[in-house]
Amino acid sequence: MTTLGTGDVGTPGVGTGRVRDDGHHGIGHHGAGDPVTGPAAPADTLSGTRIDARTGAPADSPAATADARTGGRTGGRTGGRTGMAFTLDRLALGYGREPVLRDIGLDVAPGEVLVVVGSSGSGKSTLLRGLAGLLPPHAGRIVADGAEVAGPSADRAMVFQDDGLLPWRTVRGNVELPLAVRGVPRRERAAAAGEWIERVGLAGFERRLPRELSGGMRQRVQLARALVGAPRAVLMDEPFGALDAQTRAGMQRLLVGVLRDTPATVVFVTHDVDEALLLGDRVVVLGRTGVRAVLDVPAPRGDGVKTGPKTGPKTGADLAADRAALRARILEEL
Amino acid sequence: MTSVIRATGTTSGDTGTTSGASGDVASGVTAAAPMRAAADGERRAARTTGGGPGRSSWVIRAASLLTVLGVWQVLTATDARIGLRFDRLPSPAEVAAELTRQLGTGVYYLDLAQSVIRILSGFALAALLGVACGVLVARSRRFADVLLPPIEVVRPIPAIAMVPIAILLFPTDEQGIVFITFAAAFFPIMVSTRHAVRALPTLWEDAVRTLGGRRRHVLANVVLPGALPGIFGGLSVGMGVAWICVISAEMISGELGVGYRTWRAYTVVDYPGVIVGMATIGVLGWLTSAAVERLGRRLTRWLPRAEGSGA
Repeated sequence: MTTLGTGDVGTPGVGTGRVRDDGHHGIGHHGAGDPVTGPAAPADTLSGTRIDARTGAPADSPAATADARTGGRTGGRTGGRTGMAFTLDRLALGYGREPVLRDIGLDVAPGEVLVVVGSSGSGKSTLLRGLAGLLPPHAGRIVADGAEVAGPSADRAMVFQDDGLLPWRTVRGNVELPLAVRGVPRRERAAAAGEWIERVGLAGFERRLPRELSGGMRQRVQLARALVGAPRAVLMDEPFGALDAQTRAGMQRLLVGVLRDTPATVVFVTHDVDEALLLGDRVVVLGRTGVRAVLDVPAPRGDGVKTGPKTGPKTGADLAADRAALRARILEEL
Repeated sequence: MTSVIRATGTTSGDTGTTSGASGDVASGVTAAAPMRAAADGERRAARTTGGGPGRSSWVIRAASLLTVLGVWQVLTATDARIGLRFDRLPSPAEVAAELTRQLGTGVYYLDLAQSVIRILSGFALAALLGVACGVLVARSRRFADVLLPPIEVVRPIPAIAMVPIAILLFPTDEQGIVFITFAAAFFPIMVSTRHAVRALPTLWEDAVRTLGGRRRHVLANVVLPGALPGIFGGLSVGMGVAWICVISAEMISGELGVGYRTWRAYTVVDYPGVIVGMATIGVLGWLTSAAVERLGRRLTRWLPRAEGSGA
């Protein structure tokens, strides 16, 4: 199968709009304050009707799942991709004998940004490792696009809190890694990595080693590395947790900008409620007993709150009030 | 970046490295226009690289070596008998004369080449098998179960104690000596590799796996590079023991080599010759260790402390 030069690598800034903009309310509708979707999650409504945009085949057909396993190498341009849908069904996860998470039921809609908040020890990172395929479930199932998650895949890229970069590889080497692993030719690799390095604002730093970068710069590299392979889901484990407030704000702006151009589903773990409200379409509150609440964020990632009555029928003041109420609600659930 | 490495190795390392790094920064900031402000702020936080040993450091090193020679010369010239009897020890001048004589003969170079060939072949074998074995044992429970018991039993046996067996097993002395050298270097390399691999954080492996990497990618991109600092620790120790054992083996068997020549000099009571042999071993050992050290430094310059520490 012949593809365009950049056909199987992510190209920043050419996305044809966010899938979630029109798809969110149709597929992933959960009313604000909806209790957790029951254990018998309607997985069939996702896999049964969803058509794989790249192959034109239903998502759960052998061709589509095989494609997903190989990291979508035969895919078309970025705009043709869709985010990955996850269904968690009576999931129990943990290390050793004792599960950290029990009886988790949750749907993640394709293309949405789902933020998981919880106090430390609530199992946020454990949940993410489960989604990544790094941690096999004790019980229950994790279904990604109709196929049970059996191990890590290039389609589910992960961004770690800190030190996730390979210290012996330069910035370019790290960003090229996912492409090198799937055998993308050297020149194509360099071009795609270069574009992403520029996109995250690190042009000129290609030959630096991670130890020669600040914490914020390292997280930019991780972001570029996660997205260069055009994954269909990006799992972010407190990626800005180790950064100072100012750097963190810059990184959040960068992330919002980058996410606008990629159709990937994002699961973002944080303990920072404001970060959750800033980035998410929906917020999942995780407590010691499991999922406490799944809440919709009004006007997600919009700037209506700051600049006044621009977005929709609601005024900026209304939105601000909604957000304050949501914030209070999350803090109460935590 | 190679120029930077080279610069750090020389005495003028400081200036070379710093100017290179600031050049990078300047081009980076102008190219990243949209992110300029943020990148600029982070640039200040980014560490710049330090230099290698300075000129004064080399002067001190040379002076240290010359002082030892000077003390030796004084002790032998004055026939000092201070518990130790320096009156019978050849003086540096006598040794230098003997060395000059030997440098004019072909045998000296033949011995030298023979020892170097033995050490390099034995050490290369040990490095290859030691690293492979260490990685296998650290990464696979099954390999550990199969390989570790015999290895742990053989490991405490000094390689030199294997000489009789080596003579018995190998058709030629040459092979026996290479085997002894190999046996000496193998264990430190294997053990260091094993520990280095086991000590690797799982985070890097997780990262590569979530980017689509399979077992072989993890091995090539995480395990081997990540274990390199530990592996080079083992290689340094291994090179040291390899010299000890190649010289000892040459003294016991063999018809050429620095060890053989040194022992021959002793049997004919040629003490300047003995010391020439010893000095030759010392210099060769130092050169090979420095080569290993240097290669290790070059391959692990990503370590936080790689630059700025001594050469």
